[in-house]
Amino acid sequence: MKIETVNERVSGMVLEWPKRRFWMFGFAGAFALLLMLTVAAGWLLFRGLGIWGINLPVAWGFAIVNFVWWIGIGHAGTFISAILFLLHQKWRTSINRFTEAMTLFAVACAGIYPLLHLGRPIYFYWLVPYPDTMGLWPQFRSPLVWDMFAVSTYATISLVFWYVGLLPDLATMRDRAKPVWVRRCYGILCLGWRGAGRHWEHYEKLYVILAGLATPLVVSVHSIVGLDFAATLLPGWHSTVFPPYFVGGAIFCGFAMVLVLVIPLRRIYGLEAFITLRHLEMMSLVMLATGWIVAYGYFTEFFTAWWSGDIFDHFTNTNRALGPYAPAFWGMMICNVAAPQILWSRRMRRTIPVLFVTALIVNLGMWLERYVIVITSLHRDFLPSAWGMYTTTRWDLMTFIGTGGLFLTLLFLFVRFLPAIAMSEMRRQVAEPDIQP
Amino acid sequence: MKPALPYGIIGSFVSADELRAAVGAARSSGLGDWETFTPYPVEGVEPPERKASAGRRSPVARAMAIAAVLCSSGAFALQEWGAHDYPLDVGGRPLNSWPAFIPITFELTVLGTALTGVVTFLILAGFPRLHHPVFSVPEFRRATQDRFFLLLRSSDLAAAKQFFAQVGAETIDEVEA
Repeated sequence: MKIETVNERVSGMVLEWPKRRFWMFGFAGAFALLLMLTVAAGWLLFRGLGIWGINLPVAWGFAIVNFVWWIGIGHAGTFISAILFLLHQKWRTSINRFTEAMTLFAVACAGIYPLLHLGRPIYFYWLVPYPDTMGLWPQFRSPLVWDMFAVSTYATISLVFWYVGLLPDLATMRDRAKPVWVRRCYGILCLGWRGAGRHWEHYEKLYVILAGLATPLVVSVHSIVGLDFAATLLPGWHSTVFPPYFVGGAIFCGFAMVLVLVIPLRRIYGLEAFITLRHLEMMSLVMLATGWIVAYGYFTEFFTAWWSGDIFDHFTNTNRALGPYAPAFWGMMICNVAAPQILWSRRMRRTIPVLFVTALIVNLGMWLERYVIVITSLHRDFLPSAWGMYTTTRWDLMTFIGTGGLFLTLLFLFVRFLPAIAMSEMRRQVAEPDIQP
Repeated sequence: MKPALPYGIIGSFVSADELRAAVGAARSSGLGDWETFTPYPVEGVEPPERKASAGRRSPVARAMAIAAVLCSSGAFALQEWGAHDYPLDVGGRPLNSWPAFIPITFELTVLGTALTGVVTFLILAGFPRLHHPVFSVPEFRRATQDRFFLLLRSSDLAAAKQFFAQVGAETIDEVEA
C-alpha cells in the first residue's frame, strides 16, 4: 500500500461522497428516531417524570439502565485510542478515530439520562460548586457528585483527544478538497496545520501525555459509576466488586459495539484493506477476555452473598435468578457468559456473520445486566411491605430508542464530514512500518 | 522602495529518507534557518533551534506537570475548605473525610492538566494561524499528503536553489513573503 492510497481512500469517503443513497436513507432513518427523542424528552419536560415507569421503590428505572449502558459503550473508544496506543498495539491505528467518535457520541447519549432523570433539569448546575446566594454546596462525599465530575471530565477529555488527533487530517482534507468554501471550512477547523517540524514535535508530546491521562480516566469513570451503586446499603449493590467488574463490563460491551458498527462500515465503504480480519479478530479476543471478567463478577456476587450469611443478600440473589425478573437474569447469563464462548474457535472468530451476531448478543446481554442490577435490587429490598414491581412505559422506550437515533445521526454525520480513519497515523505506518508510534 | 524579499526557497522530496539526507546537507551547508513540513512525524529532522534545546523537557510536558500540581491541590483544597466551611454532620463522622475527596481531585486534575496541555500546544505551535507564506506555493498542498518539504530561509536565493538541485529535490519553488 502506498501513502497516497491511504489519502485517496479515506478522504474520498468524505469528498466524493460515495454510497450516497445508503447515506441518505440511513441518515433519514436515524434522524427520524432522533426526532422521536425530542418528542419524548419534550413531553417529559412538559408533564414531568410521571410519564416514565419509575416510582418507589424502583426510582432509577430505564434512565439509569440506559445511562450505564451508553457510558460503558464509550469506554472501548478510549481503551483503543489511549491504552492500546501506550501499549504500542499498532492494529489500533485503523480503528481509533472511528471508535473515539463512537465514545463521544455514546457519552452524549448517556449524559442525557441523568439530566432528564433529575426531574427538574433546569437546576442541574446545582451540582457544580459555585458561590451562590442560596447557600447551596454540593456534597463532595457523594458518588453522585463524583459521577457528575467524572462524566463531564470524560466527555471533555474525549472531545479534546479526538480533536487534537484530527488536526493533521483536517489539514489533509483542506488540501484535497476542490471547492473553495470546503477548503475554507477544513482550513479553519485545522487551525492552519502545516505539518511543520515544531507542530509535530509538540503534537506528539501532547498526544502521548493525553493518552497517559485518558488511561486512568477511563478506569475511574466506570469505577465511579460502579460506586454509585456500591456506596449504597442496598443488597445486590453494596459490593466491593462493582467498580472493577463495571470497568470490565464496559470494555466488553464497548468492543461489542465497535464490532457491530465497524463490520457494516468496512463492508459498505470498502475498507477491508484498512480494517482487516485481523482487527476484527483482535477485538473479538478482547471481548472474550473481558467477558470472563464479567462472568467472574457474577460469580463473586453470588459467592459473597452466600458467604456473608446475610439473609437480604441471599434473598436478592435468589430473587434475581428465580423471581419475577428471572427472564432478564437468564437472558443476561446466556448473552454474556455463554454466547461469547464461541469466540474460542479461531474459525468462528474469523467468520464475520458469527462475529457480528455475537457482538449484538453481547450488547443486548450487557443492557440486560444493567436492567437486572438496577431493577431487581430496588424492587424487593428489605421490608416486604415496601416491595413493588417496575414496568416501562412507551415514553421510556421512545427515549431509549431515541438516544439510539441520536447516536446513529451523529455517526452518519461523522462519516460524511470527517475522515473516519486516522490518515496521518496510517501514512506513517505504511511508509515506515518498523517505527513504533 | 526595495522589492520585498521572498520568504525563502522550498523544495519537495518523495520520501522521508531523502528529506533526512537533505536536512543533513543543509545542516552542514550553513545556508541559514530551515524548517521541514511532512505528512507524518519524521524523526531526525529537528530544526536548528531545537538542536540546542535537545535533552531539555518538552514545554508541553512541563506546563502539564505544573497544571497537575495546581489542579490537584486546588481541587482538594476546595473540597476540604467546603467540608469545614459548610459542615455536614452525618452521624458524627469526621469533617476531614479526605478519602471521599480523592475521586473529584483526580477528575479535576486530569481535566485541568489536559486543557493546559492543549492550550500550551496551541501557543507553541502558533495556532490558530490560518495563513502562512508557504501556502502560496501550489505544490505545498502535498505537504499534508505524500511529499516531504524543506524550507530554506536563506537570503542567497541562487545558492539555495543550487543546494536543492544538488540534493535532488523533486520541485523547487520560491515562497513569496
